[in-house]
Amino acid sequence: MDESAAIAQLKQGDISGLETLVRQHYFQAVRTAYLITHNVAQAEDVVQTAFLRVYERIQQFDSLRPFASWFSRIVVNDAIKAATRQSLHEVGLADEIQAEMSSDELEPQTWLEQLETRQEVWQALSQLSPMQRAAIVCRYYLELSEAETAERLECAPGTVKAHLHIARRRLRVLLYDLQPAPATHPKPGKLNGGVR
Amino acid sequence: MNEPKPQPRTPLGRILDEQARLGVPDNFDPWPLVFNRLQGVNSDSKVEQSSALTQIPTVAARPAKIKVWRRPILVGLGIAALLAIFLVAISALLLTNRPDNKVANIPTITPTSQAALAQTAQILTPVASSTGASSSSPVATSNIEATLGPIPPNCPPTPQPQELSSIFGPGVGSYPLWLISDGRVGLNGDKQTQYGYLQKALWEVEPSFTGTVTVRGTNLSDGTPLYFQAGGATPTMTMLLDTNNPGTPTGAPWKGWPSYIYATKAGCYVIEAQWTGGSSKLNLEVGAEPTTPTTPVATSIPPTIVAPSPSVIGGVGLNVQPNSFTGQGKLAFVSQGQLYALDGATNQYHQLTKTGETSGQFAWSGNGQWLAYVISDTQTSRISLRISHSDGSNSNQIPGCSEFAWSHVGQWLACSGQGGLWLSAADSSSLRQFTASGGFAWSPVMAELAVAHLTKDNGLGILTPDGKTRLLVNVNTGAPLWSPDGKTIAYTTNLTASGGPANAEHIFTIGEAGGEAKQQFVTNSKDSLQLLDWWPNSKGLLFQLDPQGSASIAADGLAVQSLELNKPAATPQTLVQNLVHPSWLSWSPDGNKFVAVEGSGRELWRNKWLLICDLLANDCKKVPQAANTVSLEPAWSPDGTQIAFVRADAPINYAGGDAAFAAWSNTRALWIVDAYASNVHLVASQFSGVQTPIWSHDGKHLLCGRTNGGYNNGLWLADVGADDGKQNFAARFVAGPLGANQNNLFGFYGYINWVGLLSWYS
Repeated sequence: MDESAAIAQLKQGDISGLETLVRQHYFQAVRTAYLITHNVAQAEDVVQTAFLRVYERIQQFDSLRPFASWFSRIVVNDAIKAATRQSLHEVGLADEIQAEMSSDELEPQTWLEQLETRQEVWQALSQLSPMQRAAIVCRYYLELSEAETAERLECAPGTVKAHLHIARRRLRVLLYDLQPAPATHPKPGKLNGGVR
Repeated sequence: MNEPKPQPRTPLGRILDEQARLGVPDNFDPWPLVFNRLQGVNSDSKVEQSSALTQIPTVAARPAKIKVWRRPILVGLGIAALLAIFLVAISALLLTNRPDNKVANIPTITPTSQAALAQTAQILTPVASSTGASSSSPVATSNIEATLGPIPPNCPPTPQPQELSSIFGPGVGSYPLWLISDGRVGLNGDKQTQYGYLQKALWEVEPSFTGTVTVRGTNLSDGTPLYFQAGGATPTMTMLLDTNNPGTPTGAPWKGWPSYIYATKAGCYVIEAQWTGGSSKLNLEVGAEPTTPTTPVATSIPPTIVAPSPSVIGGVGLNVQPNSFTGQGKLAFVSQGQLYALDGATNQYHQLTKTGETSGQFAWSGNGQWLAYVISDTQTSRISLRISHSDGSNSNQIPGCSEFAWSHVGQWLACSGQGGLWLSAADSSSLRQFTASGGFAWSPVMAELAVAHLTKDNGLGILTPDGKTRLLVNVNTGAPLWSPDGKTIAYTTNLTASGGPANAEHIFTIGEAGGEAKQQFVTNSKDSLQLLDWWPNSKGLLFQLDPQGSASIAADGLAVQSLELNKPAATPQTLVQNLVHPSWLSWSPDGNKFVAVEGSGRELWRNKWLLICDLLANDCKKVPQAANTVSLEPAWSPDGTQIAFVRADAPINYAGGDAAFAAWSNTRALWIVDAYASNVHLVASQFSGVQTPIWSHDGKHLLCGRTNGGYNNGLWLADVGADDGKQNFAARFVAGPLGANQNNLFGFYGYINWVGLLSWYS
């Protein structure tokens, strides 16, 4: 069954339409939520709850729009909320932007090419705020444009730029901190008011 | 988010992808997890779901179970799975002690994750094992009667059905196992499977029994076995019912298992039940189900509340009392997944959908002569719209149509779907196809249809049945809303051409003939709008504002705003603080007042009361109610003097689960208040479990659903007319159960969407 038929069925109250949507979108959604929450059980909870919401609100879904975008928006935002509730070191965006303005300017993304191990990156990502992680996940994992990321995160494109910029900088700092400091590499500037 | 997702192109993306795949393996079926969440049943106590069960359109779930118990249960799933394996092993040992039995191999399962654990539990409970075969999925013999014979008249006597519970119908059997039936199993002779002909059956085990009951069935003359299918498992000759894992939460404290019985031939059968320390036998008469009567036997209309009589499979089968509906117009309703139409003029009812079809969207035409219904083919998933008379005659079909609306003037129907938008005469004498799409609405005063996208992508415009089109404004809009005088159309758009914050939504109005569109309201950035209705004098609008377009905020209710149009200085006035469902707003016949359910929160059992608003006076008055009660589902009478509504106790005891929910449902009673919110009274205390009263056009009757939280539900007609100033009351059962097979009608938070269950032309 294709997606549009599944949605039409669900709108009629036939739950087999939801079954199709679950099988098509579940794993990608849980993985996305997992990358934001860093907790599998929490990610599963977010996605299952999101499907319940789909079930309840399907009548409000415009069938002319792509379901994946609509659903992804629910999942990403719920994952941010879930992660934020558990975050002990949330930093307001305004504070970070202010800190960013006073920090040293860094090079563009060439440092990403130097990433070596998944564990290091995973550990560094856990140090970001949920919103920063969500921006990274949307941009690099889901490979959305900044405009699409803004739509998913329900914020302005400029805000996405700020989140991504700060997240990249922080990742760079964290990854340098996580590795044995190479003698030949200068250590990049650390953010004031950071999470560490 | 579609699978499969290609590998990301950036190094960081690839690392994220690798981590995500490691953290979230995709080697299991996620559907049972979501399905169980829908049911509100923890993953360790629910059977594996089949496609048959997935036809259930609405399922009940109690948030308390999910929110309170989910995490501990997830942690304990491994223990539950091991316990289930242990119980199965014990059962297997019991079976292998019998010389003529073999027990199916139980697959070895090594739980590796929460999801896998959940799956393990679902696969293991309840377990249906086979006898006389080495496979757990034995294939039935090929000796299936080509034409199923009738229920034989000369079988050994079957026991008298006994009343067991108020939640399900009478049953036959003995301690501890009961079949909810009258001892006769009418099979569907039209549907032959590899296991024979089938019929639904509900098994119930008494509350005092704990353990496993083994169920088998054989033909008394030649030993031909019956097959059983509980919870979607493969049909087997032996069914194990484990009280630790009932198949349905309804009926508590009884343990219930909705299932199917398959027989290859008609005959006299015996059901043998075994459990540790005992056994029992039950005679059954099995054969072709009697055909649906089109001229039911007349019964007298009782003066008070009259309960339905048991049907072929008590508590599960269709039960219609046509005489209860005499002279009440036409009624379409869904029962057991099939659409039926009952004609109160002829006292005849007809099944309109065929086997393999479902319908959850249907409505009578303006003159009641035609019924339009969207049907879905369960095999191909194809959608189409069918129009026919109430007896199914003069049927015509439009493929691909999924949403439709009857015109207010003339007998025209608009429907949209994959092929665009169609305008059809009710009798199909005229049919035109347009490329239009999006929301649409008929004019209240002429045969004109406003449509959001006159072309494929854009353009609010007008269509007429003779094929004419005219563009009103070339913007991307939401569904149009006609003013009551038919002169103006309101619509929303998020275009910022007229100013306002980015992403803001705007309310515009435009004349039916076109001209300049007038901006009436602009939201703050990111807020979204939902138009509710026009003022009755066409000078203002009611709408709801959804902060940041949040679905979760909307689910807990949005304020109803009232805005006078064409007044630059006018600002919206909040009339109702929180309205959860738009259907909870009912207009007085003159359109000057409305009654709405106010109170935040998506759960029906808390924080809900009635508010009667005078639109022109911009004033609302709360209907008095006692503490610890809620008021729901108001309906203004046709003569404008009174409002019928449901009042229930509040709040529900979350910890009580489904039993508590069923108890709460039973507190739902029919109440009436006058139009001035001054005289409120209970109509009939013994008329419990009331759902969504609907007035007849003459104001003398109310059509109500009644349910106690399970699938024991039905439609009732209540007489509420007044004689000599004294209100009379009598109620009678009309039809039930409503919904799909073994359907618990309640939604996640106790809300029933009646639009998909019935349509009444009064």
